[in-house]
Amino acid sequence: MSSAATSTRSRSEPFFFESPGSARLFGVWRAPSSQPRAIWIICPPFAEEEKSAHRTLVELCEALRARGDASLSFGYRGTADSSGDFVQATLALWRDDIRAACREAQRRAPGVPLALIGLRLGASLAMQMATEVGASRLVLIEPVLHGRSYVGAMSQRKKLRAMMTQNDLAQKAASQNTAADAASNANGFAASAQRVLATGDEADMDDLDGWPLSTTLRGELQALDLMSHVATSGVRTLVVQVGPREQIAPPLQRFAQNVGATTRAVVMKPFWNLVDYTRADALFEAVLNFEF
Amino acid sequence: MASSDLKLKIKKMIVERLFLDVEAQDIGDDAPLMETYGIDSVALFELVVGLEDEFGVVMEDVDFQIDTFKSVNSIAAFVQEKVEP
Repeated sequence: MSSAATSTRSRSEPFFFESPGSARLFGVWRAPSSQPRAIWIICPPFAEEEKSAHRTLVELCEALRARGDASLSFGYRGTADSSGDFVQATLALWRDDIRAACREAQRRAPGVPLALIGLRLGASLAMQMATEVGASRLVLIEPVLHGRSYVGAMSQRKKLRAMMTQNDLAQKAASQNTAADAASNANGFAASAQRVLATGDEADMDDLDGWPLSTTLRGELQALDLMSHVATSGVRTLVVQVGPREQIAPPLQRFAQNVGATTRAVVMKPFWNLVDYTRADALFEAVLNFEF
Repeated sequence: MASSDLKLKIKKMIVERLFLDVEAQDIGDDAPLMETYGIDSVALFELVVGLEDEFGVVMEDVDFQIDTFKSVNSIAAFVQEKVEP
């Protein structure tokens, strides 16, 4: 039985596939029972954003499958269940991984139009790859426009957590002043939090929100500038803003104009930042209405 | 900007960014934000982004103090210090 025949019967098939450099990427292929109308490659964000967004992206894939589209979600090398160490990852290698995911999806459903959906940094990578992989549709959800700002935001988030930890431990230590060991532990954690707060700017950051950053990846992130992109020829592009406002933020609007994209604002919490699950029906509607 | 206008703008920013189900004007100037609205580091990050977007205030390393976010009053004092040094 061919793998293509198997895949048309499977609604959800976890598997590994190869990417250059002997990387084994973990992916999940979701396909309708009939020939899919389109294949969507899901380019996830990474680090903590990937964890928080995971369930929403799975639900998006299910919504796509329900309307007759196939999808391939996968983990970049060094992330999720894919092989490799995060510390050796680079944006160039992750672009290779997107390329490999596209090849794998086209092998499973030959001749079916290809589309990319990216979230946050995944959207930035999808944008860079869309023309090369022959995508006919591109959905960019809150793309990271400037890598330097993104790294700066990660640094801020880390400092905020350290600040909250420091405050919490100070309160606990104050309330347990009869327990010497509790105070000692609290002092240890507080010192650690203080070190984070005392760290210099993002240029000195050696990790990305807790994930170790290689010099190469840090350099690539800081050089990332999506505003320098021009229209992706032949790729219909939708830029989705997710947040509290119905008006598209000026930088995102400028970017969308640069690349000739349609825009949609979805009023909902930024689910890639949340620990709690939040329904994303409005986001799904925006994506599903972006017809082939 | 008058202090009362600034505080109302901050309250609107807090309600909008945190998707709070309250009227901006119902937030007390001195109400403890952390305890009242269950603000965690994720929500704080939204406020930091809001301060930058709405007021052009960029937080420096030395600004990461829990007291800055204690109340609308403390945030207003921080913004005023940054925009009118």
